Amino acid sequence: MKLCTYYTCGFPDMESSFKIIRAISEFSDYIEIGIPFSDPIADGPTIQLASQKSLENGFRLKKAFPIINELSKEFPTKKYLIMTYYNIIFQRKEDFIKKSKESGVWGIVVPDLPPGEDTEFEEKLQEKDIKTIFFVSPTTPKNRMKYISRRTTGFIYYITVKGVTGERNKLPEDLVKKIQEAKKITKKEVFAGFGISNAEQVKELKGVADGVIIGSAIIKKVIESGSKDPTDDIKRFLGEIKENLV
Amino acid sequence: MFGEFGGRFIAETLYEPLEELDRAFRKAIKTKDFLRKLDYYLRVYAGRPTPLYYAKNSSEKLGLKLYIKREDLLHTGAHKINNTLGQCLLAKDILRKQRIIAETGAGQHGVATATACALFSLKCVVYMGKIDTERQEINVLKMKLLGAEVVPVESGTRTLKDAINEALRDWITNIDTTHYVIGSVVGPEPFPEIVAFFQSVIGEETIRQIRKFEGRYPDFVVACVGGGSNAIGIFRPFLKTKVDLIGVEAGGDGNNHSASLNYGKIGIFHGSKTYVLQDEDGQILGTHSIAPGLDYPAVGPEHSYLRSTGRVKYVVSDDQAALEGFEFLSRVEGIIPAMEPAHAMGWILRNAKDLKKSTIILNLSGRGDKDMHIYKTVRAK
Repeated sequence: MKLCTYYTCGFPDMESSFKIIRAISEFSDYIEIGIPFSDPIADGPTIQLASQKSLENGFRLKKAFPIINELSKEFPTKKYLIMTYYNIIFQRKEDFIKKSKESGVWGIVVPDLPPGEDTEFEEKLQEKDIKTIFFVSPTTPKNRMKYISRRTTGFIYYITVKGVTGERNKLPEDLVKKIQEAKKITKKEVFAGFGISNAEQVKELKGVADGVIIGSAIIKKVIESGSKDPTDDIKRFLGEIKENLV
Repeated sequence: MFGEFGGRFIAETLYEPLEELDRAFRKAIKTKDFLRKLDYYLRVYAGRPTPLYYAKNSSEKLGLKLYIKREDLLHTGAHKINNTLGQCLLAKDILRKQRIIAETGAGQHGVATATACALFSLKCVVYMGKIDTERQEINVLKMKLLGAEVVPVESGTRTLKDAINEALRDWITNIDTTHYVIGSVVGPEPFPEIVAFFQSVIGEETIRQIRKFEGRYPDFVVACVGGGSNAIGIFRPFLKTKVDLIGVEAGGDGNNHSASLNYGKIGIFHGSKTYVLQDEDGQILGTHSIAPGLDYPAVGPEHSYLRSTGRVKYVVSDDQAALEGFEFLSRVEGIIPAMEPAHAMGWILRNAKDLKKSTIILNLSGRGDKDMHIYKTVRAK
C-alpha cells in the first residue's frame, strides 16, 4: 500500500514548512503540498488553523513553486501534488498550470472542484500531463462513481467519512466494504483519506485500499511540538505508519 | 447556472445531496398542498401581502413619486421570513429532515430561521461569527428564546463568511439528517434558485400593487444588495419589463466596503462562480459596511449575471449616504428603516435631481430597530 502525505505550505512559516515537507518526503510515495486558502470549507480545525497561520505569516502563492521545484529535484522518484481550493487556481488558470508543470508537479487536488464543473481546466491539465485527482465520498452513487473514475487521470481520493478533514480515532465500520465496492467499479487506484491518523487504521486498510492519505495528523504533531523542532517526531510517526503498509 | 455564473463548486460529499435537494425543490413547487400551506403561513403568520405605500411626503419633497414596499412590516421585521418559512416547510414536508442549520451575520436570518423552526417544531442550530455574537447580543438572545442553539464561530474573520463556512462543514458532516437553510441567493446550485423562488413573492405582489395604483409599471425599482435576496425577490418579475432596476451595494467608509459587483473580480466562493472581493492571490478579503446585512465579500450569482447582461445597474452608496437615508425616512415618513435598505434610500436622495418626476419603488427590506445601537455609536461621534 502506498503512502500519500499532506502538509500546508507556509505553516508555521516558509522555512519550517520546507524542512517538514522534506522530512515527510523521505517516507512518502506521494506528497500533497497544501496552498492555503482563506476559506477552506472542506477542512477541519487542524488544517484550518495551519492555513490561517500560514497566511498570517505572509504566505504568497509565488513562494510555493520554488519549494516544490527544489523538492521534486531532490526526490525525483516521489510524486508531488498541489492541493488547493479552486479560487486560487481560477484567478490564473494558465499560469498556474504552467508553473506547476515547470516545478515538477505530478497532480492537482481541488476539494471544491467536482469533475465536470470546469472541463476546460481538466483538458488543460491533460495537455500538460498533470494528473487529476477526484474525490469519491460515502454519498457518491454508483453511476456517478463511474463518471468520476472516467474523469480521473491520477488516483481516486476516497473520503472515508461524511465530514471534513481531521484526525479521528476510528474508521467507519462499513469503510472496508465501501472501498471494496468502489474498487469493483473503478480500475483506477483508490486512496483512502480523511481521518486517518494511526497505524491501527492503516492496518485495517491494508489489502483494501491502494494507498492512504495522512494530513491533519502530521500538522497536529507540529502544533503539539510548540517551539521544538517537530521533524524527529514526525519521522517517528511516519516510520511507524510505513511499517504497517507492507 | 445564470449564464457563466453559479455552478456547484463544492466538496464531493455535497454533490448528491444537492441533486436530492434540487429534485425535492422541483417536486415541492409543483405540489399543490405544499404551495397552499406556504401561502397560508405567509398570509396569516408572516403578514403577507405587505403594503405598497405611496410615500407622499418624500415624493413632494423630492419632486418624484416614491412608493415603498413594506417588507419591514413582516413578522420578525424583514423579508428573511419569506425564505425561512419556505425552506423549513420544504425540509419538513418534502425532504423529511428534522434538523435545520443556518448561518447568520447580523442575526436577522438566524432569528427568522429560529422562528420558522419553532413554528414547525424543527431542531435549529445557527452559526454566527464570534464578533457578530458580541455585536448582536439581542438577536442571539432572541434565537435562544425561540429554541435555537447558537454556535459562535471562531475561525477566519469570525464574521458572516466564516459562519457560512462552518454551516457548510456541519452540513457535510450531518447530511443525512440536516437541511441547510441558507439565508441569501448565494451558495451552490440549487440554493440561489430556491431562495430566489421564495423571495419572488415580493416582486409579484409589487407588480400587482403598482398596476393598481398607477395603471402602469414604475420607472425604477431600487433595492440594496449584499448577498442580494431582497433585490432578486423584487427584481425577478420585473426582469421581462423595461423598468430600470437599480441594485445598491455598500460603499463602506471609503477604504473598506463590501461592493463586490462594483469593485470585485470574478471568482469561486461558497460553491458558486460570482463576483468576489479578493486579493491578487485569490484570498478572500474582509469587508466593511455600516449595515451588517450587507457585510459579505461576494454576491449571488444571478446578480453577477444581471450585471454582465446590463439588465440591472449596480451602484454604490457609502455609510454616509446610508445614514442620510436612515434619517430621512425616519423624519419624513415616520419609518425607521434597516441600515441595509437605507443604502437604497441614500442613493435615491443623492440622485433625486436626475430622478425628477420618475415613479420609483424602494424595497424596504427590513425595519431599523436592530440598528439603533449602530446609530447611537455614530451619533455619539
